[in-house]
Amino acid sequence: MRMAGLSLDTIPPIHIPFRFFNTAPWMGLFASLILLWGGDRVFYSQWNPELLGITHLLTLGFMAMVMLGAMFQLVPVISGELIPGGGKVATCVHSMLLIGLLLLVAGFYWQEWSLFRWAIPLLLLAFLVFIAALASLLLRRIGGGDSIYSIRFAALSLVVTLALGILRAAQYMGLGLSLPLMNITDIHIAWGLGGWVLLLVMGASYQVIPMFHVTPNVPTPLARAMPSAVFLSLLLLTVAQHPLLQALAMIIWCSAAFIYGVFCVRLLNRRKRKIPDVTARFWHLALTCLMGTALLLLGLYFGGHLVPEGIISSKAPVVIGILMIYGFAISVIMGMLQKIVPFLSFLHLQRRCMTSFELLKTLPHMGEIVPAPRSRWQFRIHLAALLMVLATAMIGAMVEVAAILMAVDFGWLGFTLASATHLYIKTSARIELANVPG
Amino acid sequence: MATISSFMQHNHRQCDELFAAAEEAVASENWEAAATAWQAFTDELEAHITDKEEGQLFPAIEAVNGPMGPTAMMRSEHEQMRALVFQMSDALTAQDDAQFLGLSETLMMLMQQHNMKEENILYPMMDQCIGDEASRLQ
Repeated sequence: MRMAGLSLDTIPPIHIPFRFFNTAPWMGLFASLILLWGGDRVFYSQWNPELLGITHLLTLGFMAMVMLGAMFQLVPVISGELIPGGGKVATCVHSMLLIGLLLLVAGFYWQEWSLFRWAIPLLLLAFLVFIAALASLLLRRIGGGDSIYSIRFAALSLVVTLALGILRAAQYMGLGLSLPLMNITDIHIAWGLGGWVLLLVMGASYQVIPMFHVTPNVPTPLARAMPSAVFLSLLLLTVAQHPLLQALAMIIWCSAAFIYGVFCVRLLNRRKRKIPDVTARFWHLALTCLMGTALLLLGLYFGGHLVPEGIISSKAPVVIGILMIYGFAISVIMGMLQKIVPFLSFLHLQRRCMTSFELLKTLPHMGEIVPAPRSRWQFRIHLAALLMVLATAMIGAMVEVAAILMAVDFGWLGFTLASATHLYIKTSARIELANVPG
Repeated sequence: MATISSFMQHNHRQCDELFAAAEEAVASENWEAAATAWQAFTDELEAHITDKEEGQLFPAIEAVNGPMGPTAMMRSEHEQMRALVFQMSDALTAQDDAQFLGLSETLMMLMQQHNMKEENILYPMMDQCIGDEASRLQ
């Protein structure tokens, strides 16, 4: 086994993950403002340009922004090697993602497709660096078992999602591409939300739920069957044209997602660590939304003809999108950030004053960096905002209330993370001062 | 026969369970039970990091491979844990549940990321280089 050069002391500088985490909530807030401006018409159809802008602000601006930041943190810790280029690469990826995203959103909002010419290369480059870093980890012979198994499928799904996104953008820009795929957008959404997001969360949950909540592990056969089924169903959905095969793919995806949800809820209910924990509540909410999505998709696919045509064709995709993005993915991420940010702050501060026990005792602990009551309010606001956005999308009224709640949700998170960062900088300066001799 | 990996991983889970029991007792302000549970956890933790790792496994792998980065790093993380355990014992004596639980969240995260490194990298390495040591673990 290779040992030279292997160091377990590979924590990247804190400014790398923090710049991603501190950007993400404001992209969510930006999405809320577009919803507020757009009003009731935003939810009329999934093709509404404002809704496309909002969707990408949430998926790329919030979700991918946090995932990339977390990956810059996690890859070195798991693999034992820093990502080459360090801070410079992170700065480039962060700027390219941010600028590319804003151009993309502007392109959608004003239907100015020429902006995609700049947006797409920037986003592509940001993700290429990310995928290269992820691949360097995934191609290595490392432990991590079931988690890595699922994350490998997630990474493949991300590649497919990006490729389909680029194809769709090329169509918008008027580059004539005739492809046998029936609907690139639908498949892009399926691979993005049903593949990349679900598989990444699955992989992460196999590790973090047993670890942080002290639960039994997901049994390996099930832990591997679920992501395999998700991935295969998406492949089938993409290449098979026969209605029977399409129906089969739908049943497989929904069953895997539903079984995963049920199993994780049961795990969380059996957790040995029973102290009140806001992250566990975020998990419950996220898993409920995932199970809701699976049931709704099945119901629509096989019973959709029983409901009047107009309602189904325009509102159902929007509701499913809200459940998967705001209800599932964003809930998981918000819950995880409540732990990751204070922990990273503490870890970095503690390392800098290991020589002085007196100094060590004065460091803020996690409960002071992100106070528990503030996290509990985050959950309440998020739940209220989610229910209101869902209700608005269904009844088509009171969108302003939903948008304001959503803005408060992301604003609250932004404030929490900014305060944690501020406390880190302040404490850091205090350590600096104490460490200066004399 | 159990490998070093399987034995030590199982011991990590035992520590987690004892830790969760102590946290729960503090959260419900049952100080008497908390003191007993906390003692059980710190005893198990010390047996794990001081006796099994720093006393037996780390010297054994260093004797085969020479001094190496990973064990030095693990030792330094053990120090970080001991510092937190010390502060938590103070909080327990003072019956300060907010302080104890704020610190316990921190120690939990620290232990878990430490365990992840040991279980993914260090123990598999030990299974290969010093597999015989497994029979001496108890």
